[in-house]
Amino acid sequence: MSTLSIGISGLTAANIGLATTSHNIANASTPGYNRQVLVQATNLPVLTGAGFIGQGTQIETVRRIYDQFLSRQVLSAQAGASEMDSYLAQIQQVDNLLADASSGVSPALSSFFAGVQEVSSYPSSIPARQAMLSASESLVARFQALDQRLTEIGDGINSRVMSEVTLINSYSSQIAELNQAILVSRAGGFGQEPNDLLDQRDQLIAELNKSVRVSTVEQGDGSLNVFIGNGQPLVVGNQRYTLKAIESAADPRRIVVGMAASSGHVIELPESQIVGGTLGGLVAFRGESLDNAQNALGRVAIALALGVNEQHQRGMDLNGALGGAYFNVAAPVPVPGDGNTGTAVIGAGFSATAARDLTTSDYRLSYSGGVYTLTRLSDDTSWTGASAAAVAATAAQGFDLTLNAGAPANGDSFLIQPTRTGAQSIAVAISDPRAVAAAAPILASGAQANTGTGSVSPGVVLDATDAALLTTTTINFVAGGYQVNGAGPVIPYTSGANIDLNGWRIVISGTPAAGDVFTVAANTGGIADNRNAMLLGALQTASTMAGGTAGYQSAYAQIVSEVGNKTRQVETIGEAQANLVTQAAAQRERVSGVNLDEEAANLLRYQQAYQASAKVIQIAGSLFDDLLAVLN
Amino acid sequence: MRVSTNMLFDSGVASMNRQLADLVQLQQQIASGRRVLTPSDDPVAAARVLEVQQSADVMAQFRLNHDHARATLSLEETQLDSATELLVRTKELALTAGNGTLTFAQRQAAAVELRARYDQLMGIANSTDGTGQFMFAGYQGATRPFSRTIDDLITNGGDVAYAGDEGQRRVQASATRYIEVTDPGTEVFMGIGDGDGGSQSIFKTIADLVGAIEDPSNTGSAFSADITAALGNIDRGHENILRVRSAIGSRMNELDSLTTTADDMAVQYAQALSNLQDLDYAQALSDLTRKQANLEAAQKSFAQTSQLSLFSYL
Repeated sequence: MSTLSIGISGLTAANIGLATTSHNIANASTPGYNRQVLVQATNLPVLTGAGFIGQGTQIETVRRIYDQFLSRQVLSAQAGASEMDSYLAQIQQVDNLLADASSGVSPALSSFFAGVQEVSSYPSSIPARQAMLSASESLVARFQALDQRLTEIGDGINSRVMSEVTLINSYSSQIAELNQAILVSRAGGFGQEPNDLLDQRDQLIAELNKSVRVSTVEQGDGSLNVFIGNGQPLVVGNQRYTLKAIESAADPRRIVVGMAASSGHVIELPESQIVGGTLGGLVAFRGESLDNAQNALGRVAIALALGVNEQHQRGMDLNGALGGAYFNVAAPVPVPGDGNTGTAVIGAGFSATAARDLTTSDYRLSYSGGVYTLTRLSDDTSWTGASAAAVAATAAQGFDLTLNAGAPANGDSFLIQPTRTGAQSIAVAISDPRAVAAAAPILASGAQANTGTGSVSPGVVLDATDAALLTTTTINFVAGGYQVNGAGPVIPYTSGANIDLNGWRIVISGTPAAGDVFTVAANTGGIADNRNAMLLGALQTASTMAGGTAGYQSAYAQIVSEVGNKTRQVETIGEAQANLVTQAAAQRERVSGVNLDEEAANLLRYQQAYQASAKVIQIAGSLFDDLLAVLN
Repeated sequence: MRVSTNMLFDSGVASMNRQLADLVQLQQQIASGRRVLTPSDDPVAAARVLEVQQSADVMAQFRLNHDHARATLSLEETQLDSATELLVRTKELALTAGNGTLTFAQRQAAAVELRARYDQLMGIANSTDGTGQFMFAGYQGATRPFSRTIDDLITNGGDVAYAGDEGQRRVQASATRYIEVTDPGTEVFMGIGDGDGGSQSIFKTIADLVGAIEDPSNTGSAFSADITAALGNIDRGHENILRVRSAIGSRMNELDSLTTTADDMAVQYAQALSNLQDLDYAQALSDLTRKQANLEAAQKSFAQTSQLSLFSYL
């Protein structure tokens, strides 16, 4: 080996060094780029009598500085951060929706009850009644607008799920192609690693991982298998599995993720399989916060409608008729499961104590071996019964179930969302101001000729469906108590005690004398009566919901507080995750990132090495000239 | 420690972004004057605001109800004040007519005026409120409560009939207090003791008096006895109306004290709302200055460090 070839080996190495340094400089800001360095070593020395003589240098390989552990840390943190980011972006819409107190349900609720109080002050005034109806329409519109906005957010999620699925499919197909390219490059590259292809694949996985959390397993041949959820394969070697955005079987308005099986049949992936990343955040937000907010809003609407209706039906309108329903609200419709094989048609309705018992959860009714099981999905509490009606009665969750037709088969299930459409479906049932039942249908009074000091309360209605409600009834005082309608047993009298009869309640107090008569009769013509309007007004502050612990306003405030808390929590976790990403990325950058000062120094290093090697070649050349000159 | 050039830029941009986000939030708070911009800023306060606001709304509604109750009661009080004066005049007329020195013809002047007073009293008892509802008909707002004429009473005897009912309208004046704002006509004009164990209406009292005065055969001690009975009945009718008026007065007094309470509560609710959601400007402005200085420092240091490069010297 000659000095000349040693010089040439140095020149070549310096040249590759310059090329690699330039490559690093050029890709300093390329996403996912890992810096590359030369692995340079001496050539095998030649043994002579004078010992081993060095034979110059060679480049063994160009290696990328890559730490798999650090990269995985970045991936893991990134999937979490992307999930929180997308969750936050969604829930902030709800947060902002509830931010302006003046556009929420609260002021409309206050206006409605102010309208009721106005009717209470002027029970026979048509303008006051009209104002109450208008306030009711505004309240209903507010419920519907909020619900509409929540539905729009849900629609937005549908389209986001579709675009994320498209994105994931595009990444997985590119990864499968790169797997193939890497396989071919390695086979044809004498065992050298195709660094830039590896970087590209890592970068695609990083991008895919932003959409949904993935796990990867490297194969011996250099290809990478990619999985989502609990090992659902997405890419295996150069094969990829396609995700599909499909309508949910339980709720066709909802787009969920399915996976195409080899047969072409698309299987709906359980949402527990979609974790992390933007898609995971969307699905988690929809399942946790959006459904809950919509249900909670629906529950307030339903409780208000049922509560007002109950009281309104105990009243009498300006035409002298018993009050009808004031609000309409749609009963829940159980949705049969996708795989049901039976013929059962299940119907549902609100129970008499719905306002009190309804929760914000959804439910599943399933049937197996003659036993119906009702499961509350929020906490998996379940009840069993021999019939749909029995299990609903046992559970007492504010709704009734009936088997309307057919029979269920083993394994059949039904999804019940009792409160989901409450806010959307609430409507004012009456349009005639005269139909507002401000008066009570009965009136109790003492006879003019009474000689005792007894006085009677005007009376309230307990059960408007009692057939004898409007039948004139007298309470006749005799020695030792009173008789009803002047006949029958003598009932002992206690001042101030309730007297409940025929669906009404009166209270007589004081000391009536024997012979005194109190009459309860239809309140015909009682247009200046405001007793029922007052009772309607009292509903504003009554704790009728959540087992008697919350009023309409506080139940609504609870939604605001829940959304606020969740937003805040997601914000905090999101910040922590973003910090994790920053730290993990900084760790990786420390190892793999390009430092331009370092590359500038390398440029100088290789430039000088090149110049020095060139000098060696020049000297080797001149040595040859010297030798020729001697021979000449 | 090895640092990549990208890190220098990324971390610089990230920290400036953070500071800018804080500044924007502060700026929004200052611009709106609200500490809580969205429920997530303070979930507890955001929910509490709604509850306090409802309490404030309910209190404001009670305050409106007070005004309505006061107006309704004032109207009734005005009518009953007229009725009181009318009865005072009726008593004077009865005394005049009962003067033993007057001839039958002379005492007819009193009868003429008493007839007018009867009609006036009938007008008061059938008076309507601002919405055209009969005030003294109980819940039967559209039903004229009293209708018999004095001639009918004198000719056919008996007492006036009451076409209303015993209903008494109430108004919610506080969470637990309902105040009566009407009184049925029976309470005001009827059921007045006749000093003889029975009871009769004021209308019958006046009709009986006029009947006695206009009866030419009614003279001497019989006439005096009729006048004495009428005077007693007028006094008892007068007392009865005063009793109703005193009840109205005490309701109005209670309304005044409830209104004072409601006004105090309104101030407290406003204070509570302000504490919950309003911004502490002094704190916010000092924060703004501090954060501004931080951002400027970050920008300056980034501009300087990012210019350092070995390439500048090659």
